[in-house]
Amino acid sequence: MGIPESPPEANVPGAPAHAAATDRRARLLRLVSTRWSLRIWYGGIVGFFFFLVLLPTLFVVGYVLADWGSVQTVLADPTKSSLILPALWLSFGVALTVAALDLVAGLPIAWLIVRHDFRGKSWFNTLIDSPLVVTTAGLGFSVVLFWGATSKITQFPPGALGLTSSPFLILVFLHLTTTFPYMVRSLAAILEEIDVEYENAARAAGASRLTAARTITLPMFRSGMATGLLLVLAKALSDTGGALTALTLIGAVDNNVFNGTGLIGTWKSRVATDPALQPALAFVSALMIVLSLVLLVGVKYIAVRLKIPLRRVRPKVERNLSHGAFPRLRDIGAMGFLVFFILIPSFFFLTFLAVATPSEALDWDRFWRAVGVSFLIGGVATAIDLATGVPLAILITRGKFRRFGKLLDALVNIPYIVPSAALGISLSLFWGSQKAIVPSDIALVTLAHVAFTFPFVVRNAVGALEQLDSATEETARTLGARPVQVFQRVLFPAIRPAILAGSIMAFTRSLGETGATQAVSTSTETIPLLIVNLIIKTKDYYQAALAELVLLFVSFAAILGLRLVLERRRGHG
Amino acid sequence: MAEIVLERLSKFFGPKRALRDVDLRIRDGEYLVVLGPSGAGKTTLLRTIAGLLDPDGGRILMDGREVTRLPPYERQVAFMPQTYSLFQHMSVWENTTFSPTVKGWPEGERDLLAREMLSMVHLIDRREAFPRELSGGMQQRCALARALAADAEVLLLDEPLRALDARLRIELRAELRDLIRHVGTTTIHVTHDQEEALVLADRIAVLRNGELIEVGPAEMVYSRPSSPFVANFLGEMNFFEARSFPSEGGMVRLVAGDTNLLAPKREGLEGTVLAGIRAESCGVQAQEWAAGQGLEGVVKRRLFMGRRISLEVQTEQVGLFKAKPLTAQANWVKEGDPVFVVLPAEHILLFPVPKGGVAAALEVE
Repeated sequence: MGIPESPPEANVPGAPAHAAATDRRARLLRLVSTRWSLRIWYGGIVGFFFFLVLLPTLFVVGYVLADWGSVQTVLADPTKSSLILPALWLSFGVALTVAALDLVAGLPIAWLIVRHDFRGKSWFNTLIDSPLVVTTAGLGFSVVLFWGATSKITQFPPGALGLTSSPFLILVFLHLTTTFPYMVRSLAAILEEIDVEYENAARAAGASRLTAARTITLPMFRSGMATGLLLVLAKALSDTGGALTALTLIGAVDNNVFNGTGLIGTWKSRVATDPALQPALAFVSALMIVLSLVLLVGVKYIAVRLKIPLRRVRPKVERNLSHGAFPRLRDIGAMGFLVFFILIPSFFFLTFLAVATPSEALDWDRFWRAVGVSFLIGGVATAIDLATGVPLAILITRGKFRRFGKLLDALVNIPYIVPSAALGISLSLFWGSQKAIVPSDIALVTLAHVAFTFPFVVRNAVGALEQLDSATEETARTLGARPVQVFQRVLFPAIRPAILAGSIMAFTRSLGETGATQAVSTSTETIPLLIVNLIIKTKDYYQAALAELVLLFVSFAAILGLRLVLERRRGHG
Repeated sequence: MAEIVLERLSKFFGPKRALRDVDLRIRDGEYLVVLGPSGAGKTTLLRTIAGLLDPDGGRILMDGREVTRLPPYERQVAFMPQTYSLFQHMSVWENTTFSPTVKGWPEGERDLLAREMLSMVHLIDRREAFPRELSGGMQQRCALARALAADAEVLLLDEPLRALDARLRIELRAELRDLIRHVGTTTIHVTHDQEEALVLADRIAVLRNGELIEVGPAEMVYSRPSSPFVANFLGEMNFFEARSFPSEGGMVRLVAGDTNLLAPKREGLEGTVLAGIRAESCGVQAQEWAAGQGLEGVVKRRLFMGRRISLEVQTEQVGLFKAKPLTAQANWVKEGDPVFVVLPAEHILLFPVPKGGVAAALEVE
């Protein structure tokens, strides 16, 4: 710091304490605004990201490579190795199928939301998001109840279809419910950005509605599709609780049929009694991490280069398809999909409460303890996400070194796309030898939750910061604001809505997580784990459904509360 | 208020040199307009003075105190960007009090100052409004009030009128000038609009390709520019090469083809010179009534512009020639008419013949 500034003296007689406090604050402000303290702060943030998020996430890959010998023993043991390939197929095959279906069905619905105005639109929006509030274990139960043909459930409510016992199909049905809202949201967000005038110009030039949408608008939101696809793939690949519940209920687990995360979850629960499973566990985790990274790069690559067929336009056919029966059929089809494949299967478990004979009462102490643990972990993880994710987003968008920012931006996606169960295994291996640093299981679980929820906050903040003209902050700086003040008074208020959205996503994602929690700690029972345990271990379907119902109310109340708190602060800001 | 001195200021963007050794002294309380085409380095110059960019060489002094490496918030400058960058989540009042607030002024002083500034820009009644509720002109005035309320020693205005429509721009031009004169803050105003520069400036500094090529009082720069580029940038010029011979009374005689023209002498220029005259300084007469000195030609194109008429005249001696006489004097001219273009001696400017040719000398990068 060169010359100290000299603000006009505060001439408030009889208020020395106040003046002293102001003075101290000014000195503190000067201190945190020096170039060095900023550098140290940002260095700390980057260090946090690399050493506490990225390195533990990828640790297992190195671990496996270093201990290749025990991997070979695993591969030589057919009781283990024969499970691996089918499990990977059930994970990746299902995820890709679901992503494709989501894209096809999500497009017309996103279009409807953005380009049409109708009564009850906000209700419709809420309806689309509603499956996110049910834990994936609850969804697994609900989906099997609706679609599944199984002897494990004895009391089917009326309307249950009992159609299939194929693990692949059941998992596809399950993950449609867990992922569809993500696809619709990301497509709608990008569609919102694209000026409708482009389409109007194309139509004024003689293109039919369909031709205009297909040749003009669609190619413009490849990036939106890529985001949507990645969100869907990540969610479907990560899910453990839902998949394990569904596979157990359908009877697949009895036949040793697992998906990737289910296999990790199952082996993890047995590793205490059978230490020989440890290398197998690490191997599967590493494999899933590497494969999902390949998928991440692949989707990004394809999204940039994908050529949606543009050249051939059949004006007559497309014109005929643009009005009359086809658009109506398309909208009805999309709506039908939404109701029949997403909404009914998601909430079908509620009907079970009506028909099933109540078993003994739910252990409410255990329930509320699990709720407490879940909210504690979700809350702390979201707070850490905010404290580190927002500065990282600033570094990415406003840093002096563009390339470094871009690199960080790409790396942030890694903990997100990596299946969270595999991430959990990696994390517990990394911290396993360092119990001194992470003292309790809950702390370790929280760290794991930070790793996969972190990208939500960073992504959202980066998006909002890119929208914000940097001239705004520059002006504030020349008007005398120090970096801390620029952030506090100008930057943060402007990106608050995006940060709020990111925090809600991070928080709900943490609340719903099973795989990572289970992979890190066997003793921590969060709410989704409670539901998984009720269904799989004690087969108390009634209690599980009841817990899920109460949880619905608690989650809605929590999100509403968070919104209220943040919006009231905005009023003061 | 302060005097600002720039010493050999330079700035690179990669291999591109955005500022080349700029030396400039802005006097205390002066209104300096930096004029130049887009990409000349005007905004870079402003941002460097504001402290938003670190120069790669040179020094910046304010009242003798070196500020070259100080962060923006320690410089006592106020920067108003092209798009105003009003803080969207703050009301007019909060925008205006932003600077005093972050500088930790006592509330009483802060409110007094903000109230005065808002009254000055006629926004005191709209102090509760948010920027998106204001018209373009009001936004501009709000940004100005916010900048003035910073009580900065220097006001840096980056194309402050650019975002406004033409009529409002001309209206607010006068208002801006009166306001700032009244407050007396040293001001650096950047624009590519020569008319705006001529109206507002105490002095104009012309920037081209990162280089400061001319500084002087507005009228001086307009009527006695030092280079063909500056002359042309301040108003459309005709250029032609001629041989010059000494004459009487501070004049020289120019010979171009079979035409003789008188022009004011310029020291140190002999032999072949580049002569130039503004299109609007040229009059037009019917050839049979021709009087004074000038060129004969045929009108190739006529554009009615309201107060003036724009003519392109094909001449034998110097090719295509542009004239913009007043409509009142030239409304009789039609395309295809033979005319006599009058070139008043006092409006002819002389320059050395540029080495790379006239086109290169005028090129706007």
